[in-house]
Formats: sequence, structure tokens, C-alpha cells
Amino acid sequence: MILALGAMLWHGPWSLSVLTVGIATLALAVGAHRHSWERLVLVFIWQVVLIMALYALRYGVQRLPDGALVAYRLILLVLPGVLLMKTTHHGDMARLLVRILPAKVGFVLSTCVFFFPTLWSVTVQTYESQVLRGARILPRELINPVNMGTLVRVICLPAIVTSLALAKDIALAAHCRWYGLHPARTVWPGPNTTNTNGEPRA
Amino acid sequence: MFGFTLQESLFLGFCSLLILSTKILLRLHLKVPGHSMFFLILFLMLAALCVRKPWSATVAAIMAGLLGMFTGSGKLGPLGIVSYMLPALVIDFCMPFLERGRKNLLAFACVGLVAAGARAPVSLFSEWMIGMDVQVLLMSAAIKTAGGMIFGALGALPVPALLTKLEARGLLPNNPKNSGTAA
Repeated sequence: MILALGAMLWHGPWSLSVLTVGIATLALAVGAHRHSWERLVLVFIWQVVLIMALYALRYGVQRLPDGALVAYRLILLVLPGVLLMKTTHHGDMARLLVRILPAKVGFVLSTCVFFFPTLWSVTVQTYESQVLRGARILPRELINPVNMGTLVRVICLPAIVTSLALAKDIALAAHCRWYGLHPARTVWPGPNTTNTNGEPRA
Repeated sequence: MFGFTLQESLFLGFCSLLILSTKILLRLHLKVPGHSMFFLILFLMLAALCVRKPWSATVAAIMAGLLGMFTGSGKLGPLGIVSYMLPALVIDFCMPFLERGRKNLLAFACVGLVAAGARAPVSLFSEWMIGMDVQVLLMSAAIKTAGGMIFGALGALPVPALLTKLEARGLLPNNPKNSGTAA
């Protein structure tokens, strides 16, 4: 976060060198070399080419180094966050999320993440069935905007229907387990083994 | 949670996850700039019009931003949350008009267009802060936003038809026609 803020706010003479060294140290420390970076490199190349082309178009070739510096600073802005995300396990991130946020928001988010594979598997099954039926929703066919309508009709509508039904079932199951009985965080059936009526403990 | 029932909150959470997953999938397969706005606007509008409570789209967008930040799909960190929130705020502000003119496809397309365009300040701000020349900055933002606005308008167009189908099946949780059965 500090490195990204530095890339955004610090424009001093040694800023780029110090930030580069800082981010390189961070990358080495978190073992960034063990991950695949091909897609991100492609995104960065596209970004650099776009910015330099715009500088060349507006000011001519003599201002290209300025464009390159701005593009490099943009990469330095994005890189610390990407490093953090790539090298931290999603489960650890989710646990941190639940710890930071209020109990109910954490419950909703973690429940959604937990049940999302169920929703996604139904959506993937629907997609495969529709492809077998002959629907024009293969990735190469989606370049044509007309086929996006088909995708919405045959994939998004079932996905929304499934998510509505799933949300209803989960909410019912949670309320059956006394969810929302206490304002504080509760567990069900609770650590007290003598609690036989199933009431949760605050 | 913020005046939403658990069922509504979970539905908004699923919408936010659908936004993220379609974004990641399309980034893998479809190399068209701004295409992610199609599903962002579609699911935000569906979230707002299915739940029918103030700030539904914004809550879904905040959830999408938070989940994106913590699962690695967002690259701008906290600015990523803002980039989801701005289109959602536009949708929430336009909700009364959209509910009134449910058959008006042009209104939906306009709201989709404006909502997708509302994302531009995030890109403008981050690039301005790193010291990019203002004229280049404006051109860069225009290139990035134009594609997104077109896809945003396209993403808003199927929403009325989808809502009609959901209502016909009695699936909307806060449907005024069957308000007694809402969770």
C-alpha cells in the first residue's frame, strides 16, 4: 500500500529508483518468481504501448521518454497490489476479510464465497448444455454483440434464477439455526455440548 | 445488514460474485476493450431492480469491490471498490425512473451508458496522480471509457426482458404483486 501510494504521490528525483528497488525487494521476499506473470506482462505491454503512442501522437517523438516514465510509474502503482494478491492464498484473504468486517457482512460474504461453486457448477452445466444444443455462445462467437443476447437469455437468466433460489434456501437454513437472534456474532450449535435445544451461543 | 434481509444480502453477494467471475472469464477469452462493463451493468441493474431497496446496486458493487480486492481480480486496491461503486451509484439514483419506465429500452440504455461512463474518474484520477500529461490523460480515458459505455448500454438492454421473465415466475423477493410472501 505504501509503495503504491509512493508511486502515486512521490514525484521526486530519486522516486522511481527507490520505488523500483522497494518493489523488487518485495517481489523477492514474497517469492514472486514462483508464479506465472505472462498475462500481466501482456496487460503492461498494452498499457505502455497505448501511453507512448498517445504521447507520440500529441507531442511527437521527442516526448516519448516522458511517456515511458509515466507508463513505468503506472506499472509501479499497480505492481505492489498484484504482488500481494498473487502471493497470498485466497483462503487467507477471506479469513482476513471476515476478521476486519462486521460479523453480518463477513457472514454474508463468506457464505457467498462458500456457496458460489454450487451456483457456478449449475451455470457451467447450463452453458455446456446450451453449447451442445447449438447456442452461439462460444467465446469466439461472443465477439458478435448479437450473440451476447443469446448468452444473457440462456445463461444469465438461469444464473439469476439459481442465485435467487440459493439465497432463499441459505437464508431459510440460517434462520432455522437461529441466525440473527443476537446482535453479536453467534455459533451454531455452540461449543456447549449440554445445549440440547440447538440455541446458538452469543 | 444495512436494512437488507439475509436473503437479499445473499442475492446481492451472488450478483457481485457473478460480476467478478464473468469479468475474469471474459478477460481470458475475449480481447475486446470495455467488454466487462456489459455484465457489470447487467448484474448491477438486476441487483437493484430485483431487490428494489435503496442502495442495492451500491451494496452489490461494494461487495464486488471487496471480493475483487481480496481475491486478486482487482488491481487498483481500494480504488477498485470506487470503480465499481460509481456506476452503481448512478444506477441507484436512476432506480425510480427505471422502475417507472420498465418498458422504455432507451431509458435503460441511457442509464447503462451513463453508469459505464461514471467509471472514468477513477482512471482519470489514478493517471493524473502519477503525473500523466492532461491532454494525453483525457485521450487515454476517452479510449478506455468509450468501449465501456457502448458495452454498458448493451448490458442494460436485456434487463427489462429478464425482469419480466423473473416476475412471471414469481421469483422476485420484493415483488409488489406478491408482497406478502417476501422473506
